[in-house]
Amino acid sequence: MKMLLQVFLTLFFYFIVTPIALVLRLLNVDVIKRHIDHNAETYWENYQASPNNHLPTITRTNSRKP
Amino acid sequence: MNILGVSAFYHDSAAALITGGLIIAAAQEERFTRIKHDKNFPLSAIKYCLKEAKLKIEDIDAVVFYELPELKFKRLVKTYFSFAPEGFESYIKAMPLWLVEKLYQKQLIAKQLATLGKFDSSRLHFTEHHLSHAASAFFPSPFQEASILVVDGVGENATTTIAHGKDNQITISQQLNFPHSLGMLYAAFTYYLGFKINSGEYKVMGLAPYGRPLYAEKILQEIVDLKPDGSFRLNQLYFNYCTGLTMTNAAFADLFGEPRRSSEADLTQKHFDIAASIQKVTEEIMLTITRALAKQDTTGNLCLAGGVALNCVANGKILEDGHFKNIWIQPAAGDAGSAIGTALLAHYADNPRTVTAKRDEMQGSYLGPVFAQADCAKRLEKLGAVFEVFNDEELIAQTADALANEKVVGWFQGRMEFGPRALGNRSILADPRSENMQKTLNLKVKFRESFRPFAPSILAEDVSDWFELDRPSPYMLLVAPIKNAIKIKMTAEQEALFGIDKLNVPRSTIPSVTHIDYSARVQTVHQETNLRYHQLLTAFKARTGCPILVNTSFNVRGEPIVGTPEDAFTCFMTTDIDVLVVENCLLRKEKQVVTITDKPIFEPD
Repeated sequence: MKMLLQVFLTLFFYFIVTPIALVLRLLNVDVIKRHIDHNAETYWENYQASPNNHLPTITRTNSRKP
Repeated sequence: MNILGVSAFYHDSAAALITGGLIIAAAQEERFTRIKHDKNFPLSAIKYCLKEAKLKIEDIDAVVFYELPELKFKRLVKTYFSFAPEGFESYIKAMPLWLVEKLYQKQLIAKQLATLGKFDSSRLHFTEHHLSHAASAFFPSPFQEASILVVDGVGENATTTIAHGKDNQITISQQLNFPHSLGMLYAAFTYYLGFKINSGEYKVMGLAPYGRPLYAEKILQEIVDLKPDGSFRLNQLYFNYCTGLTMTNAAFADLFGEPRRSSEADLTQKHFDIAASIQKVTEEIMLTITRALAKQDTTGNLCLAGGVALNCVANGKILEDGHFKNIWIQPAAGDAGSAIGTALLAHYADNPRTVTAKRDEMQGSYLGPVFAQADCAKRLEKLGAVFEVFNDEELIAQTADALANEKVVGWFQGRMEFGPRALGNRSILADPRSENMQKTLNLKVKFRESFRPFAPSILAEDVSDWFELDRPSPYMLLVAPIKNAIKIKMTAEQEALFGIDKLNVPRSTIPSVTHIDYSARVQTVHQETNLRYHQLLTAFKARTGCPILVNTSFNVRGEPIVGTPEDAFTCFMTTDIDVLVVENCLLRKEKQVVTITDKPIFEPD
């Protein structure tokens, strides 16, 4: 099972990830903004909260004082 | 409302329990499992927190985890798409782990919690890594409103975060993202200098004063592009952490003209100079950020967290820089402290926050297990320890006498500290006036490298008499110069010495806590948070005129700080500690009759 996963992942890397990565590079898309830009004034990026942050109002039905 | 905060799976797992906004308990998993920086799910720490609060898992309203696993996974995938066909080595190691286990962290956490009782995953919540850090820096701080800066290696994406805290709200404004990270940069140099990342950073910081920052310019020209507003990017040509299993690559080694130092190799002047250079660059980046931040700030208050906030030398520089009037640093600034942050986020999501006292909410960071005197005596008896029991007053007197006679004392009292520092409850103490103490402690007690400095604890009231510091530093997170008055002038001959040789020249009246550059990492001790330690320092001062003790964590190299009286006894018996004080029990080495046969072995850090 583990072997199979490794084989699948290897194929996936070279036949899916790599071609896409190469195309992105040809199109000059910097996926993770990895490059230095000496002309840029700032590298700060505005924050956008992840929708995955999960802090709903917490139900207190279980509440008990210690 | 009872909230449990959890941080785990990367480094230094921890748990914290909050009730009605108060931190009831917090502890790192390593202290229980005795595995340094244990990253496993902190089941022992959670059990302890529940026990301390006298609660069961059923009584917990919410469990909050300190980061978003799926966002971290997304960053990983994006990184592979950015570098492929490079990066296979890292990909094939990381991907199976994620696909088989890490992506299902929610289920994994719920399952682990269910081993403690009835727990369903509807009570499980998640917050962003840097939001958790920011919360750990702001909510327990003594400020109603403040600017917040988080700097670490990386969480999900963010590596540097600027936020604003007001009342019960934290608003993040700007961030820098992976792979551009000050934590990673420092870790890369830690790795290059032959130390372990995530722990060897302290050593780099300790080495820095032995060197000259000859390479700082080069680093800022070649590796880091720092903008005037403090934002920066790292030239990825020199690093390997995005694609490989190491931090730096051949280009990095070429830049400094020699290969990475192996961990056994001798340290040379060049290594000292490189350490000094990266420390200088780190300070420059931190100062550039905080100066820019100060321009937008209207509060005068700065809160810091994230692993880089443990760089107490840089913290001292920020304070000295004066752009912020007040600085508060989360004592558990690394990931462990995020357990507190994430839990407080849940609490303040629908509770008001008013800072009333001028004190912070960390209670001196004494948030861990405590052992009652009777329990300690029973445990020590069982171990075959020979000890005397003294009343409080006599105990302080006996201990102060021993310290004044240059005895090394293991000091085990009250609640264990939360965070990386021992703050006088799980500490090894000694006389700072002694010329040989630094050497003795490093080589015979802690079994660690002789270059490493020790920190002083001082009565809070006396701090300004001995150090250039005008405020409390209760968590040992500020480095300050020692006062000129206590410096001892070196002869020209001594001045010409270098490195460790120079360290061995007494350069002040408290040589064992005076670093090579006349600085010290100060801990102020306060009556309100640690009465007994305060009394001990007072008694030591009465005998010697010196209100200072050497305070180093109660452990040997590679060992987590002792958690129980048993750990303390083992450490005492297997090192050159002369006296052990466990609550009111006092043990003298020469009176002990047992020998420790199964001495634990710890991997060097």
